[in-house]
Amino acid sequence: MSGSMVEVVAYIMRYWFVFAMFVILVAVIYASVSEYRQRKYVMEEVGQYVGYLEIESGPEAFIGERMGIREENTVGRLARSDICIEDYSVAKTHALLYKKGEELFLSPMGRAVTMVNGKKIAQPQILRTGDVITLGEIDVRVFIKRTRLQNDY
Amino acid sequence: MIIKRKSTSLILWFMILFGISGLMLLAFIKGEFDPGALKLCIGIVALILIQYNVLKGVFKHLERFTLLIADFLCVLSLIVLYRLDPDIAARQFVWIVIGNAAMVAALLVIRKIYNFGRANWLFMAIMVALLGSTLLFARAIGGAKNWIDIGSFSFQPSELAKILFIVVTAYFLSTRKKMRSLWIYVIFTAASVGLLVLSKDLGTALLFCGTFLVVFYAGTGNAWLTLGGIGVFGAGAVGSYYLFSHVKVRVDVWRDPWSLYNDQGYQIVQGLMAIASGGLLGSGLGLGMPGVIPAAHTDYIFAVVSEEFGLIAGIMLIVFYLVFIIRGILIALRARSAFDALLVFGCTVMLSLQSFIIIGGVIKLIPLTGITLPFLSYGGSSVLSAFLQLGIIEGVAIKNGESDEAEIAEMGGEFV
Repeated sequence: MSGSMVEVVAYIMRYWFVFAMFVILVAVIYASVSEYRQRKYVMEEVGQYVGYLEIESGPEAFIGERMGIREENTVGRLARSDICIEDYSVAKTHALLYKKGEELFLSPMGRAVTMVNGKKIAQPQILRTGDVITLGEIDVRVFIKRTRLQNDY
Repeated sequence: MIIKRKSTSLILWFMILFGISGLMLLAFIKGEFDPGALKLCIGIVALILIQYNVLKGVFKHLERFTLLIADFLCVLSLIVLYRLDPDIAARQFVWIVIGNAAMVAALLVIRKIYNFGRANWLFMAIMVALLGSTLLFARAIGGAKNWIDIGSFSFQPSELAKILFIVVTAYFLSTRKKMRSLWIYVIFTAASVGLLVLSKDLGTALLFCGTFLVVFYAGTGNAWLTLGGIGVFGAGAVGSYYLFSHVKVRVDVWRDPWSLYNDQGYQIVQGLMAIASGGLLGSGLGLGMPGVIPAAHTDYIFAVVSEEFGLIAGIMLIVFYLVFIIRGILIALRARSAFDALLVFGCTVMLSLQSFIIIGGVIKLIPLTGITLPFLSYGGSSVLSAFLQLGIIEGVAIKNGESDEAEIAEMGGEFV
């Protein structure tokens, strides 16, 4: 290639260099912002739960379903309950599930039958990971998160 | 609850195309084909593809965007250096390879370690020894006395001191809660900055001061002491203006470089004229005259980029550094321990201040103090320290990702 020809090519390629840099910049910003938003959303969602309940036995359709536990929850059949189990053996407002200090408590409401590990309870009861709660004809297992406690802050 | 990450292959491919097109253009620019450019091109493309894919494969939670930005800056650096001097570009490539190895080492160490505990006293001793040795044995290049020769090999001890300074800072500010137990650290910082000023390495002294003030405020949240520190720093700056002639010269040149054109102002004026002659879109790669700027391949590389790729490219370069800084700060905010957070924050502040000080100096926003532009300037120690800081950032990012994944997995979520 002759010298002047290369100079023309170099002059035209200015546009390509600026364009390529711009594409890289925009792609980096776009990808990192959208990833940051998604991660923030998920981490906030995860952060507000203390643990979760998993349905172990009951109607076939419910088994394996997971419901997140927040700081204070009502458990019952009503759709406005924090933890809603739509089964006729569960009372409208069946129990309260709340965190006090570092412990998670279960307190029965009204005359509904609530059992923890097969024993009927009348007073608020401390729950541990692995406990089975029986609400009417449904058994749920409790899982409490550990990871939050290990962090410095 | 599933975190799904974006694909970054578009960024990677554009980066590789940018590198290939730039180096191939330079291969033909002198009339006949130059095989050196082709070798360099194959080398850098292979390096980036291997480095990025291997790291991404081994570490699931690698912070990919900072790594990609650093890679892009390395590609740009090789193009500009090859245009200035092919030999320098080849040496820079070797340093980038060594830098990558250092980055992986730093990443592995930071991932496993909690904080360095008693070893920090050793780091402090090494740092004072390094800076003291520059004062005694160093050779002056361009006014600053900060080079040490060992045989044919020369290096800048202040670059290694930067990393140690960040580690020591993070250790003291994260473990000592009382102000009274911090005095030894403050004296140590003042001593290091004093040694740097005495060896006329003003840019690095400014860098250490700035990093200390910002990280001190972030670590302790004590506004009054920080303001006091800024006051002392200002008094020191004004005092050194009257005490040391080389500081006075720098400030006078900054205020009016044109009147000293034939003397100390030559570099600044040439840099400004280079940026101006490039215009918005630049003169075209290989068509400008960056050779007339003194230190075009180290301190003044920003002026060369602005001249040949255009002012738009210069501004985008600044935005690249900004994105890098923001990603670094986000990692620091998400870190699980105070030491990790301060470590990443220190690295980020150091890199951002470094790029700000030298870009500001080149465009005559602040007095010029010669330091290198991270990842872009030629210089073995500079590339090595920038990659070590990147490795520290990546190591903490991987730690964060692993904790996040554990938290999500416990709630039945997934991290893809």
